[in-house]
Amino acid sequence: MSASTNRHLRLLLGGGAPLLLLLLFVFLSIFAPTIWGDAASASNVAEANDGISAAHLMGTDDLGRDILARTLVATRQSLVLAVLATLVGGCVGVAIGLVSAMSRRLGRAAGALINVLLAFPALLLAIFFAVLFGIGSVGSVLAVGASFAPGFARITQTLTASVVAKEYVEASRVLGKRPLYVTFRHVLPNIGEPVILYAMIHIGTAVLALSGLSFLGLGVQPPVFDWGRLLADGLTRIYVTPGVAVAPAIAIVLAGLTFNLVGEWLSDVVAGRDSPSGALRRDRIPAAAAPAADEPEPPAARWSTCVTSGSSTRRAAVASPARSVTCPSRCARASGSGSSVSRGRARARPHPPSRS
Amino acid sequence: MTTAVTSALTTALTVQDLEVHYGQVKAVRGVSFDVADGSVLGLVGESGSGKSTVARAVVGLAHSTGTMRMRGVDLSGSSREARRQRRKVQLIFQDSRSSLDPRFTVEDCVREGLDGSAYRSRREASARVAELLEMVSLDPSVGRSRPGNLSGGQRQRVAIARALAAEPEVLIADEVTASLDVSVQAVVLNLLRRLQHELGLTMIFISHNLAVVRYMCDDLAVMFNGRIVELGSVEGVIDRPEHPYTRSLLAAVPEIGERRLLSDAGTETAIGEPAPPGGCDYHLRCPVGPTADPDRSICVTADPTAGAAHRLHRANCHFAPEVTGERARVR
Amino acid sequence: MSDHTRVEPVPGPASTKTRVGGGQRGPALRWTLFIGRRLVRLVVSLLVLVTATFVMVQLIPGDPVQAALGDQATAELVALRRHELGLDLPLIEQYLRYLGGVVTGDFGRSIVTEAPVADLLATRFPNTLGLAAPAFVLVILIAMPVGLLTAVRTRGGQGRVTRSMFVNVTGVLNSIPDYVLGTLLTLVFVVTIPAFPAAGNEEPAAYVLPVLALVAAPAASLARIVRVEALKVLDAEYVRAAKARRLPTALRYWRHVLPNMLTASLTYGTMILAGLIAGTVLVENVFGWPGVGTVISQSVIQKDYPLIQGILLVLGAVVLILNMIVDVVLGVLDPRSRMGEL
Repeated sequence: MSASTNRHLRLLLGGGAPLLLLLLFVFLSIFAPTIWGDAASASNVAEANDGISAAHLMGTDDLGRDILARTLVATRQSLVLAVLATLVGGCVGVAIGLVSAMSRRLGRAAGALINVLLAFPALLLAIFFAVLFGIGSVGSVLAVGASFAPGFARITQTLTASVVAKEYVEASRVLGKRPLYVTFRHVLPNIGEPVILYAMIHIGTAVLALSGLSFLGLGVQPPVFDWGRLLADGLTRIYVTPGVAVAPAIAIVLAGLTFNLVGEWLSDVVAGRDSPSGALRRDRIPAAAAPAADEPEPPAARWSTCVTSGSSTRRAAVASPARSVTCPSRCARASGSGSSVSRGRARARPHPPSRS
Repeated sequence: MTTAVTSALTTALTVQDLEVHYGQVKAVRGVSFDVADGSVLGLVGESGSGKSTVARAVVGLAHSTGTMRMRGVDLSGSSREARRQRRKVQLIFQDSRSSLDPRFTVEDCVREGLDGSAYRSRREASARVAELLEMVSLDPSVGRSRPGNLSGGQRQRVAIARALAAEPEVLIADEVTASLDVSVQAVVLNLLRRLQHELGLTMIFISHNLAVVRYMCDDLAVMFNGRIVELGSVEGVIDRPEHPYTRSLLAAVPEIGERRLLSDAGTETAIGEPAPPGGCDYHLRCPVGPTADPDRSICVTADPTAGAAHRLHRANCHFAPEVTGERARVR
Repeated sequence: MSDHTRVEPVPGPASTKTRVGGGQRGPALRWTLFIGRRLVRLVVSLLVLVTATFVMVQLIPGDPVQAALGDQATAELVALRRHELGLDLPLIEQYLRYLGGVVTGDFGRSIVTEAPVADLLATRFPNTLGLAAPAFVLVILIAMPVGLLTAVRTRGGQGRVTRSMFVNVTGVLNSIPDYVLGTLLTLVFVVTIPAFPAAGNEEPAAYVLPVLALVAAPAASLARIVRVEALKVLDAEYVRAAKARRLPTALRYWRHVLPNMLTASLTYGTMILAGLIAGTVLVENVFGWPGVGTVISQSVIQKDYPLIQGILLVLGAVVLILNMIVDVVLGVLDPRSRMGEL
């Protein structure tokens, strides 16, 4: 018992550093524009294109604006857009994935579509959608959201398939419930947790993705700025003032790292929560969503790779032994007990009641 | 044309020529039976014999062909009437852990079975749920707990309450005690019998435990390889089995002293290779068939199904006796 | 013999009992069917890709030609250009022409420069591949041995230090996006210490930084996967059985561990390769690499749709073909992966 309490404690503490960072980012996105907003927009031509100095720790841009202040202020832009993009991708993806809970035929069509889309790297999809939705904040959020949708759809579909196969869904159908009822009353509540976890991890990926689009010049447009823009600006002036690319680079990496770690920590907590039913939980949450306790899979930190979702089927194939082990023992117990009850019964009532 | 067993009474459920295919595998082949109003039909057979598939087909969970009628109303199809009528056939699953949504409370579970339009208010529905919980000997206070916090027996009773909430006329119990502990099995079985009596339910009781079947059922159908190979009254089939497969099922039950001790040990043997086409499905395993007796070549060449209706217990065996006038009423 | 002890695949949602009849077919027929199905899937995917790029331009609000030529362009010029591009034809005819063009290698002309898109792709795409291919080889060469070695050293809970070092280093590397890493590498190795050329691909040294930027994160991520998969395999029954039979260690790894790990890793490998091809788009922009990546962002901003279509088509097609190849290779290596077919 104490060992498991220890483990829980460690799990909770293990989230400490990432959670602190997360709090920092939340704090910055709420308050940075008020605190440093003026410094970020105050141009000072005399100090333009400065390198790293005491007055400007991270240098200034071509209008003499302080890079550090701009990086801090850009937190809100970067994170809010990332959360929005994840929400867009999540909603669209989950909706597509849930189709398979309602109609088998539609689900198969959706599955084929997801398969084709998943074959493409997310960046390629995002560029495609950026062309469609146009350049700018809205366009890039929609584009990144759309590029996430297939991943969300796949994990939703995988989870849905495991829920729909459950007998409580069949019982619901026997009771004459419509697919829509089953989807919203049974399927959605039962897949919610892993999907939210998946979304959490993808906020970090969205930060990287949006910064990447901005870096290419396809994201937010001036005068709005986010980390990707600042990095691109820094790169163009890297020979003049080398230091100015450092601050946005650190911000991007730190944000990506933070959300990954928080995601890993969360999935550890979910996977290890109340040990007795832990096995059951893992049974309910397919391998794709609940990484092995020993070592969480690297979440799709890499936007351009975006691996997690597509491989879930094969991952499940690799991860199945633990699940299949439990069955024989239960069957054995069931049949053993079955025989002994009949023995007891036979002795107890020598004459089966005649009823006709 | 069906056995004499049930013809005297009104039939609640008629199943005729039921076929279920899973891909290329025929899980159920030409199954026909009647269940008399208020009686209990047992379905036994080894795993893979298709007994659960029959149950799933009757409630519409497995795609099937053939006719299923309840009090003359067709159960198949997607018309409103068929849907409403299908609600009157309820299934209780083997594993109560997976048949109750872990996110639901017990009350949610049972309320799901209620006909939503029949209750004006949530309060009224809750009252009915409490009534149903009492009916299955559960304290209504469990309504607020989750299935995960209940014992196996309690969960199975919740599942029964949910099925009863739909006010079924036919209740199908698919190995309902298989996942339960010994002591609890008896409780659930007694509960089912009591409910069957009190509510006048018609039941299909699926089990591989012959003792339980004898206790619960009026009629008994033995399934092998997707077919009913013998059908008759429980006493008739168990005391005077006509099909060699039934006999081997019974023989697998060890005897101590005078009484035949019925247990399931050995009845759940793995199914052998797929039956060769043309002959009797069972001939490869038949203890009195062509492998034992070379004279019985008919078993290899002819399917005994054709003449089954004329034999005692509708036995699917060439060597089962034919029905004679006075033995027709087996009971 | 290890086949018996291998993990059974989890059947797909709809196929728990349906898939039984496949056993009777001969092996030759099965292979033909398998490869045929993959080819059909490839062709369908390519068709989806072509259609998507076509529909993309149709869905863009406003007139693409007007948008590309700018507001100052006269109505006659726009009309002339529309006619040249065939945009005044009925939609279905446009589609067929587009499809026919793609099949024959004619991707149209850039709206901005009027140069044939195919020419541009022919000169630029090899450079992109020239970046992605060595990066992929390097990813495999680094990730497989590192992952396997760490797995062997951290097996059964031993080597805690190695384990935490490995996890932390790969975790951090995995979180640095390629374009950020590229920028930082430029900062250190071009600006601060001028060791490598800043841009272009004229000399071999120019490959070092872009490839490094591309390799780091995928290699870290693959190494983690390889370690996890290798640990699973090392703990599996048949490997323990092989050990019990006193098979030499090297033989044990060669015969049992490697093949089983390979299939799992290869699955991720494809996605990493596909990701690398997309990743070059960003890295090329960091290093001024004369591939398609430096063109695409520009063409999106300039709304040069034929060019965008051409680049997306080529990148997409390469990804799809790679997928198909790896699928077939997987099918050869691992019969299990063929079973889940519909």
